[in-house]
Amino acid sequence: MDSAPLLLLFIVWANIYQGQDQLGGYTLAGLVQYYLLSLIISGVSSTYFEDWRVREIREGKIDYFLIRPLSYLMEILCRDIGGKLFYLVNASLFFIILTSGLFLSFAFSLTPPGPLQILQTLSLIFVAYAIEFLIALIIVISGFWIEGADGLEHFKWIAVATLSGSMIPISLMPSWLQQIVQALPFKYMYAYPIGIWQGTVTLHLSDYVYVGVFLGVLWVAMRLLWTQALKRYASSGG
Amino acid sequence: MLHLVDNKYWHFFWQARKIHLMRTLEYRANFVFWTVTSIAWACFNFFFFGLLINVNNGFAGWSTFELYTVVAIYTMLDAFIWSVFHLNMQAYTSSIFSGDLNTLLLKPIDTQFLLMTQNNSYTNVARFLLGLTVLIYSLLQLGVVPSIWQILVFIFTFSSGLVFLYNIWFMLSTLAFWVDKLDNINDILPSMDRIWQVPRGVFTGSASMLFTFIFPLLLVTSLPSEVLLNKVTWPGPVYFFLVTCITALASRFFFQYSIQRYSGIAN
Repeated sequence: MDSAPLLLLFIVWANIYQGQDQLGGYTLAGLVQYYLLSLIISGVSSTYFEDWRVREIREGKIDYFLIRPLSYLMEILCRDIGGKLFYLVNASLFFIILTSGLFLSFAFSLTPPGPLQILQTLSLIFVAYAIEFLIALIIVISGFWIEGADGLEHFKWIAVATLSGSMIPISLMPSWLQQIVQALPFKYMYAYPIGIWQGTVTLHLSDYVYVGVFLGVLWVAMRLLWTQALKRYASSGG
Repeated sequence: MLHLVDNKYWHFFWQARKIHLMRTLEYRANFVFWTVTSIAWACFNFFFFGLLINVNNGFAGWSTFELYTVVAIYTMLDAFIWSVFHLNMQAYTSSIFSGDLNTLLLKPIDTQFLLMTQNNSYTNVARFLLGLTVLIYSLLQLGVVPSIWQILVFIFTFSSGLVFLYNIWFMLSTLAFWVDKLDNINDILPSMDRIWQVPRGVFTGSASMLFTFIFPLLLVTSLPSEVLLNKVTWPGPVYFFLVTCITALASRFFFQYSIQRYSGIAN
């Protein structure tokens, strides 16, 4: 069912491309490949645990983890990765069928990426997951203070979808939005890994520094919040 | 249909709305937060389609503001779907799995009516109004002033679209009588919503045939838009109304038939 919106998007783009070979530097085949890669990154990096984890905190159900050697945050990470692996194994067969069908329909003639491109793309997919996971943890921890924290995940989804290039390539965005997206680090989640794979983006030292600093800031913010949250937490019963 | 003239049903309907309004106002901060979230999603949707529309100033033979008309009508429908259908369908399938349906079956009121009117949310009212505002703005930009007749047909096709979606969703949810633990059964129809988010001209060939005639999801928003924009071909609304009536009968029959095999659990 995840692929239904994507298939419709392809049909809409096919309509937009009628009578044109290229738009914003993308052929239709290139754009279809862009969305397929976006689907893979989304499968690996998206997190959906915020709402029930916030509920868990608010209902005082995390006592169990606070007195065990495995920390609560580590438990969230392990469970999320486990769930993701299960999903990816299940989805891979369907994805192969979808990709094969699209390759036949759109007659792809795209240059395959080199080993360095593959390595950089994979590392940025890991970065995408780290960014999304840390933001999700911050939302979960904010549940110690904010009553409606479970709804904050909606704003995370909207922000990531708008500013990461997951829904439309940067070159097809209006110029004012391009400037915002280029200034913010969310582009490293979708637009840049896909761009590297397709050979339209090259990473510089400044990119590594920027993404490293951003991840560091998110990590420190999350740890600070967690420390403060534990001081504040109280529950009763058992 | 007989329920529409029965005062008991209307009384129950408005009492349920009043109770939900009181519940909503009990947690006002929560209401405001989810209203803002709902508006944010609607704005995101307009923004996303705006990006697609502006790449080539329209598509499928529809201009920019004509496409905004479709997206606006979709937003209004979507607000209704999340405010009413989703909550009630969730409660319906849960009650089948848990056995709570027993208590509803014993009430002196039509069970299907009760199932579909017992819950609602007010957090999408602002979303509906946003869709309506964009619809009016788009029509003004296009210089279209619909006649009373067009407005009436628009309301008729819009309502038919809602009833059609309800019938399909209700039939899907009724499958819960037959298959155990269909957890994501209520995600099927919402996941197909992109189909009626675009004008029907986007689809060609067999896909167009499938979603226009056999399973006319494309008509849900396309027909009301075409009515307002004077693009409608007249057999369309009549055909859609007939299909809606057939699905209404089919969903009713399927529900009655499925109840017969329901044995309930615990009490």
